[in-house]
Amino acid sequence: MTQAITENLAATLHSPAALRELVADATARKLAITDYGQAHAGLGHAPAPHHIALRYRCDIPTGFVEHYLTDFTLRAHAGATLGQLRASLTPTNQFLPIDADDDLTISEIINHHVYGQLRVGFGSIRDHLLGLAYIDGLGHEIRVGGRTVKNAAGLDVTRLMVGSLGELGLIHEATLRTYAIPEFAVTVTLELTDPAAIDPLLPAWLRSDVAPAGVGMSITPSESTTARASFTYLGTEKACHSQAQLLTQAISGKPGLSISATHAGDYWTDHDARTQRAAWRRSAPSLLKIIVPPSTTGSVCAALSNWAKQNSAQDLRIDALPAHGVIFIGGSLDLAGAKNLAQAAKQLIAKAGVLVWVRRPSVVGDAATLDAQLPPFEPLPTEMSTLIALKRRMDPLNLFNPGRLIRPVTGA
Amino acid sequence: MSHPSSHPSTQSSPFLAELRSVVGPAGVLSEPDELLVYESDGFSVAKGMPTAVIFPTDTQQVSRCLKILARHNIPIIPRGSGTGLAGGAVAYGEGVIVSTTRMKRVESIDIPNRVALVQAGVRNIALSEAVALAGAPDLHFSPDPSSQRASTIGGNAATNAGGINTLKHGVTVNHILGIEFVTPDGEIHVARGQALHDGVGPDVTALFCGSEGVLGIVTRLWCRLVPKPKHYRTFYAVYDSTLDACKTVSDVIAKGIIPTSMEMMDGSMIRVVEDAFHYGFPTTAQALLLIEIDGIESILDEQLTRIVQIARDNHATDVQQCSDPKRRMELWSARKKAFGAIGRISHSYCTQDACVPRSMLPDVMVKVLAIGQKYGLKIPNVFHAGDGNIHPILLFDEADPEQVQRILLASKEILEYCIDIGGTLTGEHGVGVEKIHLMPRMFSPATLAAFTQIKLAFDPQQRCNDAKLIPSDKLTIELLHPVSRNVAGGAA
Repeated sequence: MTQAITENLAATLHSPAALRELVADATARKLAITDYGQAHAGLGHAPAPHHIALRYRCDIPTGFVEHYLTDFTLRAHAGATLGQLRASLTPTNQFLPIDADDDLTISEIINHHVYGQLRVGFGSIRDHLLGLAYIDGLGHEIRVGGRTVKNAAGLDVTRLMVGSLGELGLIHEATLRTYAIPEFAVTVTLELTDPAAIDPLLPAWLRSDVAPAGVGMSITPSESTTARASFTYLGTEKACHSQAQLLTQAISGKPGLSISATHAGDYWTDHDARTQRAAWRRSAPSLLKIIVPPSTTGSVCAALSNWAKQNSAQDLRIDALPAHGVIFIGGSLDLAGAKNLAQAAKQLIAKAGVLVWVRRPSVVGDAATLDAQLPPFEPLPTEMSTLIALKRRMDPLNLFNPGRLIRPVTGA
Repeated sequence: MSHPSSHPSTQSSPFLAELRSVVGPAGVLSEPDELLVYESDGFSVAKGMPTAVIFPTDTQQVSRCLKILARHNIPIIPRGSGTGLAGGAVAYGEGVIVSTTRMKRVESIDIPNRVALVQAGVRNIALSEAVALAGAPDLHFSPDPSSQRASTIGGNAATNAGGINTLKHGVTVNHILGIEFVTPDGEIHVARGQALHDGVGPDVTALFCGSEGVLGIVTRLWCRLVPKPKHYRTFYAVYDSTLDACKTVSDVIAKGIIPTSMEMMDGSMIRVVEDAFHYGFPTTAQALLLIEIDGIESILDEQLTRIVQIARDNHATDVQQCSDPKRRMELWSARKKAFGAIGRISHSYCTQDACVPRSMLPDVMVKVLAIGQKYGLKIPNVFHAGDGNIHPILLFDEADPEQVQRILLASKEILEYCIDIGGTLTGEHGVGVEKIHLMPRMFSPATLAAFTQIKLAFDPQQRCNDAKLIPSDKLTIELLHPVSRNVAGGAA
C-alpha cells in the first residue's frame, strides 16, 4: 500500500501484496476491512464503525493472470470485471456463463453468489470455480483448489467462499472454467395470466427436450398481475429453433398462456437484453431475496404480487428464477413496509424457504436498531454457530466485513 | 504414530457397553475376527484394526454415540461401504469406526422439486432405483463412480466422487444441495437443506463434500435429481498410439464440445477387458477412446460427425458407433468393470488417481510408461480422459513387501509429476492416508495451516479421522517406510 491508512479510508488496491499489507495495517490499528467491490455497498448490513472501505481493482488490461486456451480454464484477477474478461475472451470464442452485469468483479460474483437465468443450463459460479487465492485473517496468502476440472485434494474452501460476503478472506484470484460461446440464441417470452401456472408446467419441461438454458419470470404488480416468463435456448441455430418450436407446441391449448415475443440472434445480444431486464435489482432502494422450493415459485410470486397490490406498494417489482426457486422483490419501502413484506414472506415460506435482505430501507439510527427491527437473515441457531466457528478460525481478529452476515462475533 | 499399537480389552471397555445401550448388541462389533474385514478399505496397502465398529441407524443414534466417544476421548473413523481407494476409512491405533451402512433409508423423493433426502448409507445406485420406483424413471442421481452399486452417497460426498459422466454433468458436490451432519462432540447441524436449490452465506455443504470425514459425520443429504439423458450417441475410436488418443481428447475440448464422457483405455487395458468381457475390441490396438454425447436429438448427429472427424484427424484407425441400446449398456458395463477385470492378471493392484490439465495428457502417458519401466511394474491405464483424470493401475503382489515398496515409490513419482505440471494429486478418490505425504508438495504451509484451522472449527480435539486428508501434528502415518510404522495389523 502506498497510502497511510486512516480511519474510514477508501483503499483501492490491485495486488495480493497490497492486500497483505492492508491486513497487517488493519490489524495493527484495530480497523475492520469492508470489501465493497463495485456493487455491494449497502448490501445487507451497515459497515463497522471504524473501517477501511476496500475496492480491489484489476490493473491488468485483459483481467486474467493466465488463460489456458485449449484447456478452457482461466486464472482471473479477482478485481477483473466481467466486461473486462468478456472483451478478452471473445476473440478466443470463449466466455464465462455467469449471466450478470459487466461491471461486477469476479470477487463480487463469488462473495455474493451472483447468478442469473443461465444457471439452468450452465450452473452458477459454484460450478465453474476451480481454484481460489485469498488473504486470510492473519495476512497469509492461501491457495486452494487448482486448475484441473476435477480436484479432491484438500478441503473445498473454494466453494465455501461462494456467498460468504467476503467475511472469510480477501479473494485476489480465481481459477474458472470457460466455455465456447454459443453460436446462436433464441428467447421466447410467455405471458402468464396467473404466475402460479408455471409451477406444474416447468418441472415437466425441465425434464424434456423443451428444457431451456435459461428461464426467468418477472411481474410488475402495479401494472398488471400478468407474469412474463422468458425461456432462452442456446446452441446451434437449428437446435435453438427446434427447441423453441417444441415449447410452442407444449403451451398450445393451455389456458392463460401465450407467446408474446420471440427474439433470435447472437449470444451477446441476448445476454445484454437479459441482464438489462434484471438491472432494476441493482438500483432498487430495498431488495429482498426469497428462496423457496422451485415448484412453488410461481404461487409465491402470485401471493407477493397480491400483497403488493393490497398494500399499495406502487413501485415494487418481482423477478424470479423459477427453475431454482429464487425470487427477488424490491422497490421503495419504508421500514414499516419492509417489516410487513418480511412478515408476509415468512408466512409464505413457513413450510420451506429462506429469506435474506439484500438491501434494507435506510433508517435513522444505528445498525443495531435496524437489525433488531428487520434482521437481514435469520438462520437456525446451529447454522449460525457453524458459521461463527468458521469465522473465528479463518478471520480470528474479525477484520473482514464484520457482522455483515455472521454474528454475533466479538473482536475488532 | 502417536496412538498405541494395541487396543484396550475391548469387550469389557465401559464405553462399549454404553454404545451397545444406544445401537443394541448387534450394532457393535469388537471381536478381532469380526473386525478383520474393517482393517482396510479399497486401498489394501493401508491396514489398521479398529477398536470397534458401530452401526447406528439414524442421526440421533450417531449423535448419542459420538457424545459417548467424546466423553471417553476416543478417535472416530467414519465409514460408508468401504469402497474408498485411499485408506480414508482405516483406523490407525485406537479408534471406533462409525459405519453408516445401516442408515439406508431414502426418506423422501420430491419429484417436482427434483430433490431427494437420503440417509448417508444409501447406496448410490439405490437412490436412482428408488426415484424410478417413485414414478420418475427419467430422473436420477447423476454422479456415477464405478463403485456405484456398492458405494454410499455419504461416502461419495466425503470423497467428492466422480465417475464417467462427470465431464458434462459434474461431480458429487454439484449434486448435493444440503447436508445434515453430526460434529465429533455429538451436536447435530444442518447446512442448507430442505428442497431448496440455494442458500445464504458461506457454502458449508460444499466444504463437507470432499472433506473425507475429518469435520464430522454426514448423516443425511439433500440430493439434486437431474433428467437422465434421453438421446445420445455412443461410439469408440481405436488408435495405434496413446498420444493420438490423448490429442483427440484435447482437440475435442478445444473445439468447445463437452461430451457426456470421454474414457480412455491403453493397449494393455484393452486386452484385459477384452479377455474378460469379449466385447470385440481390437487386441492389437494401443488405445481406445469411448465417447458418449447427449442432448436434444436434432443436434447429436452433427456433433457426432465433428468428433469423428477430429478422431480421424488424429489418426484413429477405426471408429465404431454403437446404436444398439443393449450393446451400449454392455459397453459401459465393460468400462465400469475394468478394474475388476484386473484381478484376472494380478494378485493385487493399486489404482492411482491424479488429475492434470487435459492438454498435458500426452506428456503424462509418456511419463507413466517411463516410471513403470523404471520400477519394473506393469501399469495399465483406464481413465476419465475428458476430465484429465488419470488412473494408472499399478500391478503387484501384496504378499511381497519389496513389490509394495516399488508401487508406493512409483505412485509417489507419478503424483509428484502430475502436481509439478499443474495437476492435482487426486481427482476423485481423495487423499486419505495414501497421499497425505504429498499434501505439502501440493499446498503451502499457510494453506495447510488454514485447512487445520477449519478442521479445528468442527473438531477441536482432532478426534475425527485425524491424519487423513490434512497432515496432523497428533498422528503421522508413513506408508513409504512401513518398517518404522507402529500400527496394529499394519503390514504394508
